[in-house]
Amino acid sequence: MQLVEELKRSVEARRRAGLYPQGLEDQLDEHARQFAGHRVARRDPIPPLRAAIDAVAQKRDIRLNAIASTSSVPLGSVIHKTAERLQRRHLEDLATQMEAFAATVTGALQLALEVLEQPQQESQMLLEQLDAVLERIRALEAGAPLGGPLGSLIERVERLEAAERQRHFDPFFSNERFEAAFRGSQEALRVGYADLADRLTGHPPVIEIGCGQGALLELLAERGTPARGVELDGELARLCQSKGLHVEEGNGLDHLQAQADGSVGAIVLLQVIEHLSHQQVADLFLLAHQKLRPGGLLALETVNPQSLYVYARAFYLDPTHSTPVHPSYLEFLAREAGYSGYAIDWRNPVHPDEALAEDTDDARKLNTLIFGPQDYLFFGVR
Amino acid sequence: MTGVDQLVVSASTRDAVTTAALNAQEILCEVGPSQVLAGNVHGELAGRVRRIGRACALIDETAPLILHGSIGDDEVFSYLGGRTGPLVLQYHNITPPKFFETFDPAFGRLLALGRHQLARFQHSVAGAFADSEYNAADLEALGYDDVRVVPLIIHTDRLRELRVSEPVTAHLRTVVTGPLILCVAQLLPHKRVDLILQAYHLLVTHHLPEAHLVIVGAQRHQRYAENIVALAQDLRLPRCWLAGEVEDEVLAGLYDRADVLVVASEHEGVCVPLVEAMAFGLPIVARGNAAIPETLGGAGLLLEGGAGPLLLAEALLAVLTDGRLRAELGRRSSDRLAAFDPQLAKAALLTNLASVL
Repeated sequence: MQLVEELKRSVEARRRAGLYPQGLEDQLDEHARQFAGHRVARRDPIPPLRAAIDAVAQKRDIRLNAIASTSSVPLGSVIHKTAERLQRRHLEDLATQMEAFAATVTGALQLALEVLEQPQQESQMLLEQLDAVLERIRALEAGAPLGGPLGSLIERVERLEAAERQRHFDPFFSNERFEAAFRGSQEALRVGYADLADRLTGHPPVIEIGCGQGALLELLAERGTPARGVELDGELARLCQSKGLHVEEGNGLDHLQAQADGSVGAIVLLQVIEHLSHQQVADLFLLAHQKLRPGGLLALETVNPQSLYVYARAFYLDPTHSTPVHPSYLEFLAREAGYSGYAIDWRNPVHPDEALAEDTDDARKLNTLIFGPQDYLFFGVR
Repeated sequence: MTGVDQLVVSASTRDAVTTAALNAQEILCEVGPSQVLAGNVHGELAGRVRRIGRACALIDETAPLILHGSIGDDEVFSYLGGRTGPLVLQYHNITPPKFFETFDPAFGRLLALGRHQLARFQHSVAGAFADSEYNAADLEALGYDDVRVVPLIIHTDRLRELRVSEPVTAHLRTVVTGPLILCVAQLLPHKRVDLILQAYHLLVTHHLPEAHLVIVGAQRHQRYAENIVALAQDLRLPRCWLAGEVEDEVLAGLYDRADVLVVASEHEGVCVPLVEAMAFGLPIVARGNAAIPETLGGAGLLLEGGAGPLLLAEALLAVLTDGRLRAELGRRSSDRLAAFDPQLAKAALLTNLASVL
């Protein structure tokens, strides 16, 4: 405490010695105030303008006796006074006019000042509001956690994105290897789809979505039917291209969207729609209807969910299969989307050795339920 | 007493309240399972602090909970309303809104909300602790009864043991050649860093041009920080370094090298930098506001709460030029450290918890 008192005395001694000028603390305060606000203060132009206008107002009295009549020349002051008397009436009239003019000018300046002041105040308020908003944005940009509904929305999006990332399937093996292992050899596929190729020859041009290694496209090429394919898997697309097939890498639905309405003869998806979402399957029916010419075909081959055998063998073999699609549902979609007709071919029957001997009605019923055909080919006619 | 969890409003690194909770967790874990929960968790702490609301299944809402009260938050207080376990309040003080009323009214409202929310909670707590007499009185003013002083657990020993990296020591040895004044304070209005800049300006202009000033502290409010930087630039202070938030290793290096710690705050619930400075035997010059005199407990050169820049500059000059005074203040700092023994603080926490749960 004693030390603090000594320090205070020391400050006063320095002040007395002139080291610290009078009003130094006020100057420091005033200086700091310029920076202490939310926004660094800029020089306000209004106060000096007001002072200048006040100065004009104070000088607007025009007095004739302010004009000096003294003179260093002999008889000069007599001449001045005589001249003043002679001109007084004119001068007074002039002074009155000048005073009226000065009053008008001062009034106009006051009015201009008021007009200037108002937006100055408003813009200051706006700047303060802007600062508050900028500060919040800075906090957000700096990664401060968000509270409230926006925070929980962002959390939800993050969770969904994480879930979506988990759903993403990018295996180490190639689709080509997978198809070779489980869908049969290309030769077997060519045999299996020869009848379909024959049927499509009357519907050029054909677009096959998800053409794999291009077995059907090869069959169509051999028959001279114009056809092209779209394949999501770049490796498979390049394989097809190396065979001279007209195949591009990409999303089949996007490719279809880019075609002119009513310009396509047939749209084929073999073992594809079980990989699509419900929304994509429904959208496909409408889009194909729009792009097919009248009489054109939408041909969809997929696993047959009416055969329980399929679930024991084919369907879950492929981890990318999303949902089995019921043939009745496709018929419904075709009707709703405005197709003029539809038909179903049942394909790939279960080998009789694996099914029950059909020696009784019950065995036949069970065979239908359990050992029905493994696939079906749905045709929708535009 | 079984496991006790703790809840902070916003968990971030180098935040005194979060650090206090993590330090308390060490001793609570010896009694039973103990988690630190938070309304908001900054990235680096994601593994150590659990966010309420996101993982409720992992939180036992019937367990006793210590709420570290430091600011308002709707989510945290509505979460507390849904818990069934006993609640203990550890009050670290909420900065009075007046410091932000003109500068950042929205933040001021959040502070006012915090005080209001705490006041409403007075009948829901099994016990109310405060980490200083000053904070206890403040909590009682909010309507709480029987507030016990349970000191903060401050591990200055860990700061002391940090190995300061060579580039930092080299910089402090070769570039900072004159006396070094250290200020450790977040750039917020009530810390009055502006006053320190003014005092330093007077000091280097009239007395000690070779003195350096280092201001360490998170720039929690960018606009305000910009204002302080603008003030420092306008005062033309070439040996003043606004270091912002620094790693603990750098902070330890600065405490070690500094000749004096200066605190000009108008409001402090405890003021941890004072205790850290004591750990380094550093002389302290401070204005006597809020809990600062209590924390100093006779250590340091304590000025009046309203001391202006001239007196502050005079005090800094005295400490920096008078070796005997500096040695005496350093000794008093070291002596005072014993009052903040983290083991004693941990024992006090357990004893007080046991008596209310």
